[in-house]
Amino acid sequence: MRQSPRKAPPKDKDRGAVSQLGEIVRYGGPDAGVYVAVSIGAFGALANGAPAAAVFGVAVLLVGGWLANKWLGAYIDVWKAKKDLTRLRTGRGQKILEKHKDKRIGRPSGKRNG
Amino acid sequence: MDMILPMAERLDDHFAVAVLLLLAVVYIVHEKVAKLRRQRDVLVAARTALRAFYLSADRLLALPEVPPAVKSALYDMVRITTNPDFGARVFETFVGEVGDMKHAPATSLEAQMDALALKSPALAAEIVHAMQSGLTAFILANGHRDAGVSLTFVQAQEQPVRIAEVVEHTARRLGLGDRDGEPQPA
Repeated sequence: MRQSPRKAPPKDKDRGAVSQLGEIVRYGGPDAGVYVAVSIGAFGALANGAPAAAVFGVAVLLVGGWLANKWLGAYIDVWKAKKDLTRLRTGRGQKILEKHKDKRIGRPSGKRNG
Repeated sequence: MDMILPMAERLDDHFAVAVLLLLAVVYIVHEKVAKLRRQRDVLVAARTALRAFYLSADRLLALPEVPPAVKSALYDMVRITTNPDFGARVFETFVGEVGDMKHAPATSLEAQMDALALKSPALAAEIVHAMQSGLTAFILANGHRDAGVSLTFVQAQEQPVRIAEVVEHTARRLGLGDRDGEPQPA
């Protein structure tokens, strides 16, 4: 049985920095991509003689912006989920309560039936 | 190494502390975001369960074959799941009690459900399923910040009828039995 010819995997030197960053994002998520990019950028800037304080300031701005975006997005998602739940309760739930309000039996509170 | 060593020499103590602080902030924010995402997932699941419960409860409450006590329990569950403030109060009390329910004697509601299961197994199964959905919605909507919600949730799925009755009794003990004093949904 003949085997179909396989493509040789690309050598590391063939892959550019962008595609390697793409791999990191694929395995570690966008967070890993951002942190690796910021770290590499910071080390590169320091290696080229940039002032440490400036490098740190820019890194803080980038990482802080990214984190703020994440936090705000997650907070908005929770707020939306709560709002959807409340809408269901006040809409459908209230309608059912109105429709079947005669179904409730008045049982003495604090005691089990039977 | 030739590149890193001169860089390390340039970093003074303050800079290293600042980097460590930045890492700590990154970790804390990641933890917070993960918690918020868990809350969102739980709230979305609560909404799905609540929608299923409302659908089943609406149908079952209209059926003449369902015993009045079961209808009453279902109706009270609709009230507890619909009123968030009251649901939260019931939840706080109920969470402490649910673990002790496993070895308690069978309740009257369970006896009625057993009788119904002999007469109409499909209807009994539908009621149990509705109670499970209602309890799921109740626990998830009120316990989305509670780390112990998973245990309560599993316990509630094992004995839905008994726990639905416990929830109902807790609600009545806290004031739902009084129609005039009933809290209104927000």
